[in-house]
Amino acid sequence: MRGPKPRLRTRLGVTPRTATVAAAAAALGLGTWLVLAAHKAPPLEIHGYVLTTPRDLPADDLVDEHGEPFRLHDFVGHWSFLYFGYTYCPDVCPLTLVELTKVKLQLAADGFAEPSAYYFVSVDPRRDTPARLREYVTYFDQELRGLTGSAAALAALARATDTVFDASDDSRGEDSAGDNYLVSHSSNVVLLDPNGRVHAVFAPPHDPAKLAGDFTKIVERYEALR
Amino acid sequence: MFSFFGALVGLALAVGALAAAAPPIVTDAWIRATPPGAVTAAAYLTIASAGAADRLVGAATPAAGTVEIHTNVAEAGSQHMMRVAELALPAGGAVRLEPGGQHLMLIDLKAPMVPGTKVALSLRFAEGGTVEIDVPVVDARAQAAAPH
Repeated sequence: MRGPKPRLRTRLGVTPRTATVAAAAAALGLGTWLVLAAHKAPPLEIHGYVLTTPRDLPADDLVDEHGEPFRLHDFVGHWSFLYFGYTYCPDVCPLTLVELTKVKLQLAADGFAEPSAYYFVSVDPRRDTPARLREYVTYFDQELRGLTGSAAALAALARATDTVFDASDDSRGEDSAGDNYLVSHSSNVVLLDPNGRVHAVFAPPHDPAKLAGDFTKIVERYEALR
Repeated sequence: MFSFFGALVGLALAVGALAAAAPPIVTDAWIRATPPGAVTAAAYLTIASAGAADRLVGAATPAAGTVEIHTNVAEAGSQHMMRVAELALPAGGAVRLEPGGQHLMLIDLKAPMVPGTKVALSLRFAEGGTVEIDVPVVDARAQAAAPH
């Protein structure tokens, strides 16, 4: 009654069920191969670069434009565009934020429904309080978010996103002890994927139509590989 | 699109002062309207040589405490805004101060830069003396009309 042989024979026999399992395994193998092949495909040509492997963000200590804590999982579930700057920046920051709002308008005009969020990350928390950030970002777009944080959190976030900034190399020298100082910073736009990982970096100068096109390509490949 | 010769025609506001050399010709000037609470702003313009080489050595406006000449330098793969003491204007050439590049930074604004208004700006040149212009404030946001 507990003879192992009939069971063994059943397992080894080519029944419809095992055939299905085998086919499924083959399909899975093919799927894996396709994914691997896609990973080996040349990287997308964008104005900037796509990371070979999306990178996790560090544990952080960020605050949003309402003074509320902002957690890493707040980046999850949608694509995120991050631009690092400071509100005292008169030229490249307003310029880039206007370009980002144009990207948003372009994507909407293209009927591109992929949810995405736009963030201005101030690397100047000394002057950029949440209240200051709020009046600044909403001037450019009601949906533009503002983030800042502790010096350590901003440094870690910058490192993970290939961003550099420095509030200490003000060319004004001794006068910079007061509230009028410059902050040098990258003009890149960083793209996080819906897992909240660093996915791509767009290099300046930013052309809204080109950036929107690059983003669309990135999303299409991301969806194809899921 | 900006026309260099069209710009030359529009030189009316340039006022030569004292210096022997002809003052450079300043056109296409505009100031970016500021968000609420801003204490800095950027001014953009094109400076064309009136013949000889010259240097922009300073700028001032009653609308701000200080005006600085800024340039963008590429460094370690990113761009950085930097103050410079002067801006060279080649003989017979033109220099464009434009968004994302060279600009004048207005610091310690007395009041926000309101679109539709004009701001007096004086530009001091090493050879050509001082040029006084009235610069329109323009809302350059995506939803607004393009600056030119």
